Amino acid sequence: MIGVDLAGRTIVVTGASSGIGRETAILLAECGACVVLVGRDRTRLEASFEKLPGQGHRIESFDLTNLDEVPGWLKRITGETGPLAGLVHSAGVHAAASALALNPGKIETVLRANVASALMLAKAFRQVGCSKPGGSIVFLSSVSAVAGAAGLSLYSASKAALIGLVKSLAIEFAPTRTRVNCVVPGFVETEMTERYRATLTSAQFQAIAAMHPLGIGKPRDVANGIAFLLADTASWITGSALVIDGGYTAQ
Amino acid sequence: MPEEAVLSFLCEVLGVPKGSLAGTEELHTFEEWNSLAAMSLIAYADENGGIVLSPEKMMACRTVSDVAALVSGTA
Repeated sequence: MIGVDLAGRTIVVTGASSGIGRETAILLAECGACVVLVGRDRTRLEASFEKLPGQGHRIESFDLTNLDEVPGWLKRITGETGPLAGLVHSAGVHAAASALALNPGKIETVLRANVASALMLAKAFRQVGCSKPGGSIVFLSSVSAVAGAAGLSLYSASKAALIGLVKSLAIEFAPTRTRVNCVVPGFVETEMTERYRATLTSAQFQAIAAMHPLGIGKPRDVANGIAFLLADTASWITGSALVIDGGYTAQ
Repeated sequence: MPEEAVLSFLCEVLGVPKGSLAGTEELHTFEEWNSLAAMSLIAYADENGGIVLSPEKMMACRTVSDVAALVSGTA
C-alpha cells in the first residue's frame, strides 16, 4: 500500500480561503506539498496560509470568473514555481432558487463560476510548461449532480457538468498521463453550506441530515479523498467521480 | 435594495406578469407561494442586499407588500 506522499509537489488549490478548499490546502501541506492558495480575498487566504505546515507555500488572489485571464495568470505563476503536479478546483458558488426565480443572468453567473472556470483551469494546466507529466486535476462536484432536490436545478446542472467534463478531459489528457477526476461530496459543514442552510427551516435541514446515514460531513472527509486522487495512490484512476457522501446516494 | 426590484423578482417567483402586483394581494392566493418561493427570496435578499432572513420570517408574511418590505430591508 502506497501512502499519500506529496513531498516536493506543487499543487494549486482554488477556493482555499474557506471550507473544503482551505482544509484541502492544509492536508496537502501536511502530506508534503507546496501549496498555491487561490481565492478572491487576500485577507482570508492569509488566514488559511497561517494554518499550513511546511515551507514554500504562496498566496495568489485572483477572480477565476475572469475567464480570459486564467491561462496567462497560471502561466505567470508556474514561471515562478515550476510546473505543477496538481490542481484542485474547489472555488464555486451555490445557488438555491426555484426554476421560476431563475433568469439568464443568474444562470450565466453560476455556470461561469462552476463550469467555465473549471474548463479554463484545465486549459491553463495543459499549457506547455505549466504541469508535469503525470499531473492530477481534481474538481469538486456534488451529490446534487446525481440526486435531485427542489430549488437546486441550476446548481445540480453545474455540478453534473463537472462529471461529464472529467470524463472527456481524462481521455484527452491521458497521453501525458495527466489524470482528471472529481469528488462528489454530500452535505458538508462549510461557510457556503451554512448560507444554504439559512434558507431552510429546521425541519427541512433535519430531513437533509437524516438522508446522510453517517451524518453531515466535515471538510476533512472530502479533503482526504482529494489527497488520495492527487497522489500516486490513484495513479491508475482517471475520469472517475469519487462519491464521498456519508451514504447519501447509497439509498 | 429598492422595493420595485423586489416586486419585479417576486413576479418571477410567483409566475405572474411583470408589473402585475399592486402590493395588497394576499400571498396565500398564489399557487406558487410555498417554501420554495421563500427559499428563492431568502437567497435573493442575501445575494443582492446582504440581508439574512429566516424561512420562518418569510413564511409569516401575509401580503405582497410584506415581502417587498422584508426583502428590501425596509420592514
